[in-house]
Amino acid sequence: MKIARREFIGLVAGAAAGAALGGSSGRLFSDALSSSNQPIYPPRGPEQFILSVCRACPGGCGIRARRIGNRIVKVEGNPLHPISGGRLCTKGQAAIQALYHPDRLRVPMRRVGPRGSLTSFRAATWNAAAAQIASRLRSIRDEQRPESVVLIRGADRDINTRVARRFLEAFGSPNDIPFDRGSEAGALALYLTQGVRATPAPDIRGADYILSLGSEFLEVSPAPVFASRAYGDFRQTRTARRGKLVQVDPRLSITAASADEWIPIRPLTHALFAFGVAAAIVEEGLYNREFVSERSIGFEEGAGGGLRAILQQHFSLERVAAESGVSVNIILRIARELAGARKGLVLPPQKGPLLGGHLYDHLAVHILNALIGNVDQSGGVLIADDVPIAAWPDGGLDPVATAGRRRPRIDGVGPDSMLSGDIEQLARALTTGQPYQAEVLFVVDADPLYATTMHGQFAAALDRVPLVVAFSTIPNDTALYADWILPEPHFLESWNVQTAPASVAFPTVSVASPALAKPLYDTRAAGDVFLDLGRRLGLEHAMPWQDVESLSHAEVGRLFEARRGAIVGTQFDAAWVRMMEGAGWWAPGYSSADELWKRLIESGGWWDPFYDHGDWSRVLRTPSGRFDFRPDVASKIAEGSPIAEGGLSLILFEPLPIAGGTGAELPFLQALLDPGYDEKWETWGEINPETARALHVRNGALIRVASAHQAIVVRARITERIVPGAIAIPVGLGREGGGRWAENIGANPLRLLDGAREPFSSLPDFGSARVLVSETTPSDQYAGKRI
Amino acid sequence: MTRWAMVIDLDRCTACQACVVACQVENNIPPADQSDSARGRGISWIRLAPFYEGEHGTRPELRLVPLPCMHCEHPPCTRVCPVGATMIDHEGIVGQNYARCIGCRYCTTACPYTVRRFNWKLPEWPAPMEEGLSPDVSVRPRGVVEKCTFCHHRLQVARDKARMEGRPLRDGDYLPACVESCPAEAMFFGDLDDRRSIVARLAAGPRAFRLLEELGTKPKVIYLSKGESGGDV
Amino acid sequence: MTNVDRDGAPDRRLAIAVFAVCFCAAAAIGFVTGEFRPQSVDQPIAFNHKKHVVDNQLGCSTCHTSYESETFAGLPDADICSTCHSEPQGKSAEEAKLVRMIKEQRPLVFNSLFREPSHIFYSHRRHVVKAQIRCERCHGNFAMTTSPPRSVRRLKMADCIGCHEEQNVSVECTTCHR
Repeated sequence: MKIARREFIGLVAGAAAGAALGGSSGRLFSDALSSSNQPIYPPRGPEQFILSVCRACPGGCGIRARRIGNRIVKVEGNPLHPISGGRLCTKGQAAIQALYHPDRLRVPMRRVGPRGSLTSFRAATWNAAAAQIASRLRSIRDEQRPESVVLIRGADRDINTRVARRFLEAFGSPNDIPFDRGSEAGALALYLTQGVRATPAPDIRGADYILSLGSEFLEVSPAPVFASRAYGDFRQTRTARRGKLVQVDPRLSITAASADEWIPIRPLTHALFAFGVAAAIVEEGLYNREFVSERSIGFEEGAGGGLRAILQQHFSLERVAAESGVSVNIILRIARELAGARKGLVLPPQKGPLLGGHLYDHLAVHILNALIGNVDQSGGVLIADDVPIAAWPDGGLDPVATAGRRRPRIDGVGPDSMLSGDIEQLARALTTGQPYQAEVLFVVDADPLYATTMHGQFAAALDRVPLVVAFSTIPNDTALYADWILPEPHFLESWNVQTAPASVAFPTVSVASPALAKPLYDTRAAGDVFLDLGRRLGLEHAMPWQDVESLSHAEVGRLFEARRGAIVGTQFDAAWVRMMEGAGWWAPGYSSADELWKRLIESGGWWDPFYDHGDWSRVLRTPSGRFDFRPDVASKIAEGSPIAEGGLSLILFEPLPIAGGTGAELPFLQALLDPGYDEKWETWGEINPETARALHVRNGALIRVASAHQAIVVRARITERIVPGAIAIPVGLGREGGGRWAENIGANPLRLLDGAREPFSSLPDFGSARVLVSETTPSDQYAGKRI
Repeated sequence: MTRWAMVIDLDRCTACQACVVACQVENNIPPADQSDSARGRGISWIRLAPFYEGEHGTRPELRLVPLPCMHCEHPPCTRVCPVGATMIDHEGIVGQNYARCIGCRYCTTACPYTVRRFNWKLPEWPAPMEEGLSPDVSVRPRGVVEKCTFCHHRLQVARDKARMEGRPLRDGDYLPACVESCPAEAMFFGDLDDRRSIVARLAAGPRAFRLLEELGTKPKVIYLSKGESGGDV
Repeated sequence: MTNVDRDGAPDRRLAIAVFAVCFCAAAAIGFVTGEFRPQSVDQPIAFNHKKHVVDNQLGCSTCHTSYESETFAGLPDADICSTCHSEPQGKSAEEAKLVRMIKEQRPLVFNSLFREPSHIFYSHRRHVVKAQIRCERCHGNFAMTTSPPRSVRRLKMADCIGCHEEQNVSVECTTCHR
């Protein structure tokens, strides 16, 4: 790369212009000398480093907090921790701003006015909150309707969520509704082909060629720091060849900017493209014959004559080229590069924690991976082993609970469902009171109101629930619609035992002790609240722990019982553990549960770095014990679904600093949304110059983006970074809650959706909406306004 | 001699901006609000500069380059300072003496890399945000120019620690906050004059280049271009 | 961009002119208002250094616990005082006051007399342990005071520079300024 002086000055000077020139200098000089310019003396104190685990996202990075006296002044990665490796992303770095955020909740808040605004809430005591909630729960149990208590919770990785789930079980409700949208499609693809309910863990570090079909894995991987570290090694390691990355997507994202090649593709054609590449690989005989013949079914038999026949009949290169907009030559070249690479890897379109992908895309990608023999191979798609903490002993359900647990789930999800949780169906159920009325709704570690594709209905549905209880540090959107907001401690003030996301291929357990000895406010961990409710309702038999701290201790005891793995350590330590376990030995360096606890507090975590590649009985659990190419689904994809006409295709994405609907509350993160643009603190819409000309939209103008039922206003960004005929809008701003720096800043493009679903999987459809775009008049500036 | 230098591997860099926030937290940089950001007055000592390549109408390429102070060996900024508030020390770190700075901004104009920042307003930390301030770094008043110091205060601490342990400073003892945080492990830091240090070895490799080398500023931030390593480590 | 440039030039000349005026004004204000005079400090207890250091032979680090291990020296709090004064040791009124404060668990906060500007990096550990500089060198004969002085000799940059030059230590700005 060569950057000429002229070009350089031109590009960087724009940002600096405001700082270097203009303004009233005279006033500044006099201010500099006035008494208002008193220096600030941050108090000093002894320095300490406390190990913890970051909860700014579910990634589970081990961190190290620097404490000066009783203040936390910096958070860094824990160098020994296998997920963070001593590194940390923007969100983790900004954790201090969240800890000391001026709008953090200090006491429990009870709603006395209309829903949707913090001004409707009044401070209350913990005793009042617990008494009111417990009395409501008690009368529900007296009426023998325990199923009417509902829990919406984030991914099951931290100890508070586990306590909440335990409470629900003991109480007798089946309605434990996980909200983990980002990984549903991938997990489903894995389940349909391999019979395993888990999130695929692509081995980026081990690959030497990555074909990313719109995967934003450098921004919104489930564990971003882990993925970035793996990517660094994929590019430049000391021993291997440099890996090549090809990004195929309608948008030149930050991940695409890092790629060696960006291949623009029409929206909604990722699955088609993947099957086109698969067809070329099969046609040229480049697929992995050993895996296909020994370990798979459905390639040459089954519905539609098997995958081979379907690929031949329906995915000719000409068809794929015509529909995807990528030339035959490029498809063929990609197919040859992928199949010819020593360790090629295909990544599915993963756009962020709130944006579930399409099953079709993920399935097509996984089938392509299987064709090149990538299942459970180094540099391929792995499945993390379960964390070896034994399940909590059966608490013993009383008759009321047993009967309640037998009721159907209120969101319609059953053991045979494709989804693990369905908050849109929940909204309908809450509104209609079918299959039954919900009386209490707990929301833990989730902001479903922001993330839902049916905002209006969801907000109205919350009004139908007599008691909504939300847990928050800074009140999120859902919390503003609750009856009680219970203040949680920040993760730097809490105990925790957290497992790594399933996208990391080895089991990891991180232990956090409170980095701040004394919490800043009168907060309680959600786990402690549920333990208290359990005691008040006489459910101690199922949840006998005093508090989250003692439960954490007990969890580590159970981990000790597993008798495998090791305390996290250096790379050398890891290699040693791997070698020993490979030979059937276990030499942990701790001899009791108490010693393990002590060493975990000192080192931050435990892991088992040993991965047994090709343990087929573990990773292929279909009835046949083989990888199923699912020709039945492939033929459905071949039929294609009609792409709606009119308007522009709406493409949603999540920039890392505000991914998952969190982050906008921190000014550090608001100021760095996309390094390629000047837009900060506002939502923008990317439009190709060709499309913009046709629509008479000017760069930087405010534009109205309208779907069939709602409109938002965003700033137009005319750029070649997006293909014609589409508009790309980031998700993460346009919050109702989130404190002074998030409220009413930008717009939430999820409001444009109307609850549409992908037909086969019933996953929410984030990709097929069409929108009309026009420059707006000033009176139309209120984002999110109903039309 | 010691010459502190940074190497940034653009092939590893993912433009995630972790370095930007790590720097802001480490160095007590006040959060910019909406209007500061809109006027380009937000302060960051390191940022990601975008370069769009490719002709109009063809497929664009976007290069995002982390841009800290280059700590030039011949810094144009120190020469124009009328009050001697900015200077290069004997180990090559270009420092800023805020007590002396009068805010004339000659240096921001002289700097060809545009990495110096002027403090337009008194830093504001709504309570209790000031609790998170580091005592190692001063809080700059309104009306002075500030810049990347290679986290010079960390050198003081590292050197103190080495002295207490009665040993010389080792490669890796002193790392700026950005280097320490980089998730893709794309940033390296050390002594360019120590031939065994990681930065010296990387800087001698075939991928190494410096920004605007033709100006003769001799930057001590060395970039590694994308592409095959050619055995540079 | 070009517009701003053209507009910028007169602005800069204005800035220089304004700067020159303000600089002189600032200097004048500084001397007149006594900006550079030592400020006076009140303490919660009239601590008698001589009694502790000379009569009872206590070392400085008994109360200033951190100067050998940290950048700062540390001021005693109620915990440290209570190791001896949870019960009265003598008959002074100040001590009685202290014992009462400890009994009532009221916070005891001494105020720092020596305060380095926030833009200075200074390490007690480095100066005391590594360079073996005695406390009196900067703090004067504090150990002989019987009641807290309301003000002390103000250390100036020249004091630092003088010592640094004498000891052949770096006098570059970045050595101390940050």
